[in-house]
Amino acid sequence: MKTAAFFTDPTICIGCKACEVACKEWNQLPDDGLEWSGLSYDNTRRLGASTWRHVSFLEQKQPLGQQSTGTQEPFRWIFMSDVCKHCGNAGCLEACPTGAIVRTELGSVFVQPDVCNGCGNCVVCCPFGVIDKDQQDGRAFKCTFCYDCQLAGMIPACAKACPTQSIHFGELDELQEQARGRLEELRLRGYQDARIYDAHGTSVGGTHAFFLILGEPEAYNLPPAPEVPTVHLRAAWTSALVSAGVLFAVVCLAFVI
Amino acid sequence: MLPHLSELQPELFCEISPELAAERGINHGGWVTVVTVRGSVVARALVTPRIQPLRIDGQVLHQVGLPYHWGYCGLVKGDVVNDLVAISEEPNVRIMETKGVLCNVLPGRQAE
Amino acid sequence: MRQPDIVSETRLKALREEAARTGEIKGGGVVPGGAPFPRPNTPGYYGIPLLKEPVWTWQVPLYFFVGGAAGACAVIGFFAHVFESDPALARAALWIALGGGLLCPLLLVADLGRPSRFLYMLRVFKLAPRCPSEPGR
Repeated sequence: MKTAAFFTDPTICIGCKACEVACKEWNQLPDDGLEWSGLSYDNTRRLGASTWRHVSFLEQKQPLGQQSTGTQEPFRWIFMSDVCKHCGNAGCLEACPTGAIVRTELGSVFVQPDVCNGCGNCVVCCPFGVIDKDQQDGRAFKCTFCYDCQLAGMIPACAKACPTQSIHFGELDELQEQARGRLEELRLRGYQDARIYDAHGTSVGGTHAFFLILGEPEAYNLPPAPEVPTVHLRAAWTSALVSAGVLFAVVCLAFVI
Repeated sequence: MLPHLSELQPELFCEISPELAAERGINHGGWVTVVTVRGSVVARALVTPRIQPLRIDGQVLHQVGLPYHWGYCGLVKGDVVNDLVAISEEPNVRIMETKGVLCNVLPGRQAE
Repeated sequence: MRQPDIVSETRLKALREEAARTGEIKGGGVVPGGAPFPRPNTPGYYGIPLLKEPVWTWQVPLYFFVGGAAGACAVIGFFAHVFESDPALARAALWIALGGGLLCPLLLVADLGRPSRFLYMLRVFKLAPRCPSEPGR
């Protein structure tokens, strides 16, 4: 396996949340609290330290391809299983001061729990808002891409559990080819607003977990133009050096004059 | 396994159309009492346009949906929707057959 | 077949239009809050923030202030020492800079989720840390 990848296809997803449960079972994660949110059928709300797969439920007044609902207005209910994107240029990896976050031989981004000291840099540097710090434990956690499963020759728990095979797991280039084929097929069937969301062409450098979404990414809580925060480094260093220079100059002048 | 499943739907809920919610003064996220001739249950109100009023024989007929039967014990307890319907079981495997019943929907937690 | 009930149909149409226009229903004297159906003014996904909020506590802004003040004091002390115009100023400035410099790492370590692992930050040297002042810590 050169580069492991996830291709998640919301057009097949049935919103069963088996991926959420399988991930939590395999990784022995705690629950997020038993509080009903009222946000359609989504009670886990977002990815976090104890939720590494999260199913979003979107109720939209737009048609689903050519489907006719028999209602006065078009309507569709979309389910999408969100996960860590395992970016090509990962903000969390760049920000981590202990080097706990590493790129594995499978191409995934992995947080080593025995190194992480809970500084919280990664939390603010993720352009997708994925990784989070567990307040009780103190360390940061996110999807591991089932590193332990893959090393043993198995496939990740979420992909294994998905009953409709909405979560595809495989080689990155094969899945990208498959996604393009699926997009073509959907376009022919009248899904005009289908698009592949993989952050290619941005500073994130393409993600190893990508999606085929209908409509705008903002509706799924995905950033339309993600960027890795290190693009601002040059400007930050420049302004820091300039500020230091100004400080030196002003203080020096204060003594001279 | 139980907390992982329980957090997916932590409370019994009743799906209500926005039109019915406005008629009865039901808040989204609030409580409703669903009453039939056989019993009543208290559930959270999920106001959603997925539920539509029907037009039957010239009259507007509202519908509400309770997708989960729910249960009275475990991590997430609540009223049992089977209280609303008559026991009518499929003869071979005894699955409850009754799925639709005439009801009244009242805002709040009404004592019964 | 009965004719449609005009009164209830009209009322239904009015309710639907109100719901579509504002995302809220003001009927029956009660206003539902936070309805899940698409509201024109709720951004993104039910208004849930896309990015994660910082998990840092009060120690970090205090560290920025103390660090900046200590750094400026060090510069003042340096130039006071170089120009030898005011030895008392040089001494005071350098002592304050030292105190601030010792306080800063304590503040940062206190903010960590696992403070006992603070030495792990010395494992790697990166040119892309959180901010340009980090390597100098």
